[in-house]
Amino acid sequence: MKLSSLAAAIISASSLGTSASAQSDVPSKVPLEFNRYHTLAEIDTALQNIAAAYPDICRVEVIGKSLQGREMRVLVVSNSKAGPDSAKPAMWIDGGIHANEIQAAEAVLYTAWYLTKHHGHTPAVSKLIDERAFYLLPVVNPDSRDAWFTGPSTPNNFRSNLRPVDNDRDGLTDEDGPDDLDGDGSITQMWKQDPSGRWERDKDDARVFRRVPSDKPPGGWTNLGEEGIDNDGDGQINEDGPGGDDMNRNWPAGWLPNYVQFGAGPFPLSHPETKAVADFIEPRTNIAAAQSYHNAGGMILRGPGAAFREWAYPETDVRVYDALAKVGEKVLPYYKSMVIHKDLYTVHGGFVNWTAETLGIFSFTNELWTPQKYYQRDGANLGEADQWLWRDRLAFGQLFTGYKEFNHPKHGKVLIGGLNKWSSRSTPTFLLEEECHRNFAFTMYHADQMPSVYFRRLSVKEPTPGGFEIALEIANKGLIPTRSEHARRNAIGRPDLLRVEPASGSVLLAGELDSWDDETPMLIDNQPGRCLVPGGVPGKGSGVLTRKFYIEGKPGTLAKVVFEADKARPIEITIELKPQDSTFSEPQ
Amino acid sequence: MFTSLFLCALSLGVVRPLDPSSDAFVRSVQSRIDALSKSTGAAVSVASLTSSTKGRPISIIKLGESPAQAPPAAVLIVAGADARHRTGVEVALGLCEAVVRTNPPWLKSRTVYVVPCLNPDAFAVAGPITDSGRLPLPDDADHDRRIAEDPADDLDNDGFILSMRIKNPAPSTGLTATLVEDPDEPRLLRPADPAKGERPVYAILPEGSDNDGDGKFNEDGRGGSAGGGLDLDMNFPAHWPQFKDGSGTRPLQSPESLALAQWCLANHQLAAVIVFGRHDTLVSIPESGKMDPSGQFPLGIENDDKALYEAISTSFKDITGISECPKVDAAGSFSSWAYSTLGIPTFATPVWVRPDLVKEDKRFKPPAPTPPPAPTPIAEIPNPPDDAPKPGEPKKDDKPKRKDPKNDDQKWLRYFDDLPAGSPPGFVPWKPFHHPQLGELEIGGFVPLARTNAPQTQVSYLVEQQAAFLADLLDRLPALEARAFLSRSGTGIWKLSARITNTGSMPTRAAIAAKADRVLPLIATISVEPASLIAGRKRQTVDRLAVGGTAATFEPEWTFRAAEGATISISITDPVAGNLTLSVTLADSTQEAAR
Repeated sequence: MKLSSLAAAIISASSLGTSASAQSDVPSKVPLEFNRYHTLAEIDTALQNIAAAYPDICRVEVIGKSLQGREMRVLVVSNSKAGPDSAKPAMWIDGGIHANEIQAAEAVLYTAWYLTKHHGHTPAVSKLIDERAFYLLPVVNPDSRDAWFTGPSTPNNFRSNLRPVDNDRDGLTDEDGPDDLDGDGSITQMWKQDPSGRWERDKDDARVFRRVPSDKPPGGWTNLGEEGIDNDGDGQINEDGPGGDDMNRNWPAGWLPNYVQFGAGPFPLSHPETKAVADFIEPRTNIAAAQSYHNAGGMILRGPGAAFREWAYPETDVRVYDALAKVGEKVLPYYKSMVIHKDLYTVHGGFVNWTAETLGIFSFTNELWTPQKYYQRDGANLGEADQWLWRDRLAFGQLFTGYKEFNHPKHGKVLIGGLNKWSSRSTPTFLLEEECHRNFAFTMYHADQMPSVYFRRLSVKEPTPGGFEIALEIANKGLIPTRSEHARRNAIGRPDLLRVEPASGSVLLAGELDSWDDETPMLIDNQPGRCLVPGGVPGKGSGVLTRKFYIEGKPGTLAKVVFEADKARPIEITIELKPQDSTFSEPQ
Repeated sequence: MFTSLFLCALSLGVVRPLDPSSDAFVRSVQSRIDALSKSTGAAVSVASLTSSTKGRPISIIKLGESPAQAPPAAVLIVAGADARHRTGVEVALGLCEAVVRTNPPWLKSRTVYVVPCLNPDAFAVAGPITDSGRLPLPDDADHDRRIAEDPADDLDNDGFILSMRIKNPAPSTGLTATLVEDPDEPRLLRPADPAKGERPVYAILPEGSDNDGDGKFNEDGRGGSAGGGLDLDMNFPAHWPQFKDGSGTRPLQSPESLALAQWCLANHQLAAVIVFGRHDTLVSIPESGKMDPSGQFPLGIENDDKALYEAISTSFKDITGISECPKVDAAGSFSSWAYSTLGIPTFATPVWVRPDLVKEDKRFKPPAPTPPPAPTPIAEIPNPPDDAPKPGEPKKDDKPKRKDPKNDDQKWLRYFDDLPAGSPPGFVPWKPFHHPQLGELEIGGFVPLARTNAPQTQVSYLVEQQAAFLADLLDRLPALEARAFLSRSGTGIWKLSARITNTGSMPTRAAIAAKADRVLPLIATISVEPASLIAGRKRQTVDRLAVGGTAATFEPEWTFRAAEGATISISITDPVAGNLTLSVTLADSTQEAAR
């Protein structure tokens, strides 16, 4: 008997390379720092530099162009000497579909940087790159990331892409957005003194405005909203700013139109960016895991996005999600495992809903950064004083733009200033590398749990001369099954395939065993040498795949058994037709 | 009104028949579109909607002179999404040709767009005729990692995929008998009724072999139980039936469906859509007020659109006489999307139904035969033959009285039986056949497409009906009338209001459109700058103007400062109902201006 697992065959020299000590400095050929944020151009350059510096393990693919014509680059990371990426289970990792959620792109760039520099140095990383593939798209929404960094914005904008939308339904698009009247690079607030105003200024800290309770006298100030003027002369201010579509509501999984799901876009995959991503992912059926980084809140989110789509998450799949997320909660302090519609809000047509519900990929969205990390203590609700302490003593006042007087064309003398675009949602730069690394670590754990199958037991019996019974057990090292239960129920993708090819004779029957000792197999179809396995191989701890074949063949000849799955590397074993029993240990 | 429209439409003339073979059909469609593009004398133009998956042209025909002063409201007609429905294509083309020929009055004031054949690749599929109308795409419909490896087969080489009925199938076939002969009509099978002690005798399959030797018959490929390919009418993002055979991997997956959706989204002037295809929203209007689980996305229509649909339905039934249509699931259909997502009233019809579902007076009557020449005087009247019936005796050629058909299959069979001699077959009698895998069986049954397509002789009649319906619909489209009222409120302070009324017999927008907010509302804008406005926003909007009553009128009002003698205008814009401008000169007396 010859066990020739393809997995064993492709162990590369690199994975056996120098083992770095846990804390040794592993330099990258592309120096990057993760104590600062990168502009779109810097991310683009870094990605191309990484691809050029590590050509054996990565390459750049341009998957499309944004609405404004920016190229969208995916970095494919996988050791090509250990087989093409398309033949390995793969993980999709993206960020920045909401461009204001800026650390999401950093986490993806960090992934590219860390993986490539550690390949050949750190065995665990080498193994990931040899045996898995990674498709990394740091910025799904490049136009808006560029706009966020180069133009005035807020912590909450630009969330959408920049397809012009007529938000106020006046026949014009994007004609009256906010204006950076004080020129600080952020859109802050406008305040006007007003005897009947319902806001008051703090007596001790003039930066602070507070709403006056309705049973108290007026506070003397009125909030005029975000800074801006009436650009289109319609009497309103800032009523139609840039963009308006939310690309994370544009995916064909429970998609509903804009009047149900704000920002949905005109139809699923209507944006060049979402279509480019879908066109890349959809044919790559080897993608078994997905992570789409967002901010903020310290969440490890899974679908469904709506209560009425719970059917897409059967119990057996939920157990896998829970097991993965449990590790996430440990490596990501203050992060919580959550279900989108139950614990956050209802989302129709979200990206991870599409990957999970339409494509059968185990998918998470991590919401990076939580205010609990300000002081690294339990208790999420920071008081006002704690927040100002943070801004003043840890951020050294960089999160606040002081108020300036401005002569507004409509409102006259106003104050402009307040918390700027860096003031919330984004991870403070001195904590950014940790944020990236911990999320990267969880995502690599997720990747490591993608299916990795092996023959665990084999038995050959010869109850009659020339009549053989071969029993096989296939197990999975990963928590993630080769086929999700949702995929099985809805016939998503191709079923797995178990082929038995005797050199002499033929396969007469094939049967499914409930357990290794089951004596009464259930015959499975009319093509016993070509068994389809719609349910795949369960994840580790959830069972194994057991099949029995009845073969008529010449004693001593060989039979080849091959198992193929879209989301696992194929394995094969050559068996001599003679009575035997074998047990194989889990490959390392 | 309907009668006159109908009579007017009846003069449209005869429509040329289309070649029934598949590729020739598509060529014939294209040559007729080409001929339309070259026609002169009427406002007709042909543009490209897109190219099909396999590169065939898909055209959109514009009918109407579209003068600048006419309201923009337009109607879109779409046919040929499903190749099972040739009649829709023929009627759509016939309608265009008839309009060109007859130059109806509405051409001067209205615009109609026609996509006569959305899915030419499906019509052009070669091979035996099946009950499949899908866009052919490589597909592993039975999920066995092989692409279309076991389609239906024309075993008896008659050009049709019929049915195989297998009597008492052997256990080795894997088939189970569940059917018995219908005692009322032995050519038909029906489920055995255990309560009556009936023992199942027959199993039935589409005609074909187990091509891949997996023990299943016709489970992956055209004409089979899982036909694969893409059903364009299951591929639109409205209740998309994800994971169902034919629904595609994503909505608007093909260039055909995507181009149509994009065209509709870009043309805000659409007031109504007509679909010739498998679905019906005219005879049985969609259920109103029922929503999907989100609670906001209508499964049928909004409650407030029911009256509109009922009015159009009444008109359609008056014109066509159709009293019932087959029920077809509309999930993912173009018509469902056009209503629920575009927000446009959408009227779908199969155009033709079995004659017993049409009121007697509206049924197609073949032209009276030419009267025979006057008889030559005969010298001698011959004696009746010996077997002629005697007075009072029943005629010997009287057929025995037939039982009334009870169910749909029986009614179809009766319809085909009663077609004139020489008509194309609708049902092929069962004939014995030796099947290489199943042994002795019979092949026969209903002919594919015969139950979804009208006899060629009726196409002209159907064109006339649809022309009349279109004319009626165009007559109802919304239009605006506006008046302005001015009064002085004080020195240099004026109050100006407008009364804007929908004079059409359709609302300016359906209720769903107000929700869908894809199209701009009606906007009334005063020329006064915001700084001079005391009350009333410069731009005031209303989502829709209904028909009749106060809901048909919008009355924006402004109070502002301005010098006496100034001229103030109110600009009224509506993408569907049109644009108007009112001008008033500020003067002491109360003024009124109208447009």
